[in-house]
Amino acid sequence: MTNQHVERHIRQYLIVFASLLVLTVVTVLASRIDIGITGGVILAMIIAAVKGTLVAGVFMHLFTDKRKLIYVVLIYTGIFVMVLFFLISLSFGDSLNIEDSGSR
Amino acid sequence: MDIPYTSAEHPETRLYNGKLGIWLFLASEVLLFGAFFSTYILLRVGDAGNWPVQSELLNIPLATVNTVILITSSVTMVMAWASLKLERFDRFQLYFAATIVLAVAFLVIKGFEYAAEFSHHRYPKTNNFLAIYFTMTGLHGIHILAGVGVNLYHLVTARRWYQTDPERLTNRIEIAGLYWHFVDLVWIFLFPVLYLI
Repeated sequence: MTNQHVERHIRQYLIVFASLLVLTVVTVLASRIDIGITGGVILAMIIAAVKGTLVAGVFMHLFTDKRKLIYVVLIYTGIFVMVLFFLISLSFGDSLNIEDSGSR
Repeated sequence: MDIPYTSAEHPETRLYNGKLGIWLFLASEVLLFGAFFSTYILLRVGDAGNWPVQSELLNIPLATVNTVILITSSVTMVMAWASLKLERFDRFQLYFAATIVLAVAFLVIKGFEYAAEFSHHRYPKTNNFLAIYFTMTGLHGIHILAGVGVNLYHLVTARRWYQTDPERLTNRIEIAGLYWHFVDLVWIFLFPVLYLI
């Protein structure tokens, strides 16, 4: 990576820094708006996802590091995390959650 | 013995080994924290009627300060790596030391938060929310502590590395940075989930 390359990146780092600070303030302020619990969760997660993408893409060099292997590892990981969360939602249907399952 | 591919790219992965290694480790950490996040969902949805109002039990201003501190430490960390790339060792030391100081500040504030909770007789055993709160922030705090340890080691030994193998030092700092950004990323999700919703 040439020096000019790195210096251009430094400018990006500072822009992302400012964006992250703004988004942090937005997160806290947005939590005070009454849009119901579901709306609140969705909004908070969207803002967190944007912040996370900035950190992962710029600070962790994912946007510039075009090595396929890292993406493959992360996509596999993402799939397994989706499975984790999906398992939880599936479990809501099972018998342990029914009020009077009693003795079986 | 010479450890291969500490700076040179491996011909098949086209990454230096440490970089692939840290990404694999971070993938495992995603699953670790992912499991705890899904635990939180299960606990909260399963007890939705009884769930305490989280913002009433916790100190949001203090946690917001901590969020800003951690984001700043992420910036100083990447600036430390960029300084090494630009062969400015003095700047690297400043930025890297700043990262460590900010991390310790985060832990100190966390300590005050925990002390405040305990003084109100709010312990992990008090209810499910506090249990998952202390578990997740505690695990995250341990990760910060580990990062501080590794970074301190590198701060102390950096000059010798820089004189003998600067490219390898730069890569090590990049790897330490990737870990650090991940810890910041976890907090970016932890903060709204535990404090704000």
